[in-house]
Amino acid sequence: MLALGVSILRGLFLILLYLFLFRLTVSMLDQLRQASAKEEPVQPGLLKTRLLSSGGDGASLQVISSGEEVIVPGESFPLGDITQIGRGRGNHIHLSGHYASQEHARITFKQGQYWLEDLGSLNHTFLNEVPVTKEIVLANGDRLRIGEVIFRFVRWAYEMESDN
Amino acid sequence: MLANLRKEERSLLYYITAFLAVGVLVLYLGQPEFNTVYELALGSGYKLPFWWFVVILSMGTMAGFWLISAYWRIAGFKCDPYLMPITASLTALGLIFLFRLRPQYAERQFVWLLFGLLALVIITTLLRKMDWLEDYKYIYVAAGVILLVLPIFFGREQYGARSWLDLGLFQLQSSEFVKLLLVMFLASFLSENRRVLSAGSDQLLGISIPGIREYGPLVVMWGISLLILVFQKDLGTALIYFCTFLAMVYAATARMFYVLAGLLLFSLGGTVAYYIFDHVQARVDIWLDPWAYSSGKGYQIVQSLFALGSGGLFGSGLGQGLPGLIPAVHTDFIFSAIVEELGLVGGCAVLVLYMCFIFRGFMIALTARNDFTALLATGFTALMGLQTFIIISGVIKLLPMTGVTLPFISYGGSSLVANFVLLGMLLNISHEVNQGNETEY
Repeated sequence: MLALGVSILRGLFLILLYLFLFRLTVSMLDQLRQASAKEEPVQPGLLKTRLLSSGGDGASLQVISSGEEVIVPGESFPLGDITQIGRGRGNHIHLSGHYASQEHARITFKQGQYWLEDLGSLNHTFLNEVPVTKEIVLANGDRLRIGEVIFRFVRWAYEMESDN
Repeated sequence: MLANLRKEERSLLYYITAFLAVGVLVLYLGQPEFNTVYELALGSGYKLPFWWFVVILSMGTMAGFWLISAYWRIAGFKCDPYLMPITASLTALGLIFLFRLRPQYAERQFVWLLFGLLALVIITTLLRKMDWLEDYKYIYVAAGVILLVLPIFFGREQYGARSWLDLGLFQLQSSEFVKLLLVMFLASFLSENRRVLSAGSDQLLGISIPGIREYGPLVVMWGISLLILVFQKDLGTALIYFCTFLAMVYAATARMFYVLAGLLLFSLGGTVAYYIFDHVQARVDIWLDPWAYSSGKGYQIVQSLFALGSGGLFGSGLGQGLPGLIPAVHTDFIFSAIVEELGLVGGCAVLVLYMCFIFRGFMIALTARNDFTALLATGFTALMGLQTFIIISGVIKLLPMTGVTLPFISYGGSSLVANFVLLGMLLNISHEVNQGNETEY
């Protein structure tokens, strides 16, 4: 009797192992299905979630060169009252490269000028290849570099003046 | 789904708890007369009945996993819910077989397991943001080389490999931890030089190859793995290092050229090693024909083959086989013991468990947020998979036998702790994937 019980338990031991495997696989498949169902609406949304900030006077950051897939050279980002640049999703200009910090830099429009400020980033923000240490005013044609991404600050309204 | 991660984990842990309980019950009912007094090896000779010892250890193990799951729920850790239960099932299976084969080692394994779980908790608490790890790649190289060189001078030779550091209380196999450092270095190096390596700047025989600054470190890697092979006589580890390295280079550059060149170099090195070093030659000769040495050098592998064969489809049943005949059955050859007692069915279950682990690991790598963490996840997963492949194929005589542990199952303290560290890192990456680190928006 005991021998029979032990044999049944031995079987149960294997069955439990397989039950665990079955439960695991079913759950992983479910998760895969959910992920692929979720991806379709989210993925295009992700690209469109470029946050636009209002205000400013029509200046923009133009991408000159970029080592990233998300940002293509030639693309232009309009600058509002406040523009945040960084790797976090909450930024207006969203960088994916590992040189950028979560909140890397900020450009604010105040008193008719655009001010660039580094937000304590690890790899620094470079304005014309000089690391930005304090808040600084941007002029038309300035080169702004974060990691491998280089922007040019374009401010049409004052183009003539600053080019002189 | 994200809110239910921990719930999912707990429902999977129920199965493992039941599994371990049934396993212990089978062992007990299988030989209740084996109720001798067990003397704790590590508890200064404290004595207790053997079965109490088994029950306490099993309960301790499961309690450890449950507590970690509960802790993660409280701490809001959004990691993958499958990896930890898979690990728990492998650990539980390993413990059951260690109770059955070598109870003294089960005790040691349990102590190491506690250290491993502690490491898991520490890593999942402190290292949730992993980006900064990328900046210290040359520190990993330095630490790795020191750890590798120490055993050559101060190590002790065991099972034909010189890779153990004797620290008085316990022995440490430093190469187990170097694996992790290697993956961290490669992830950091490759994510930085990925573009140069995949594009190439010079041409050689119509194939574009990058400059020396880019491939230099990679050639050094090849040299180091062969040096380990020579000085430590640790074939398995060298093979794992090199294959992990190739897997990561391929993942980073998607160029088959590197893999082919690497394999060519390694087979060249291997052939030379075969003619120069006796221990390499011995391993290969045994692999080609173990029956010729069946009473000497090949005894172990022959016994392993007998064990695998006698298992049949469903095995002899837990506690009824004779796996004790295989030397080192509790470490390298534990897979033979599992197959002998649980049969082809049980062996396949173990393989599927590892596959699930690897599947989840690569899924994490695919969804990772940046190059560094993606490569890190790829490397850790490849490491795990290759180690499993190399030891199981050694045991079943598909490849020459090389002494490495079966992750989470075999006895081996350093290996167990290192694997828990690996698990912790993978879980941290999945935590980031699941947006656990997003505080804004």
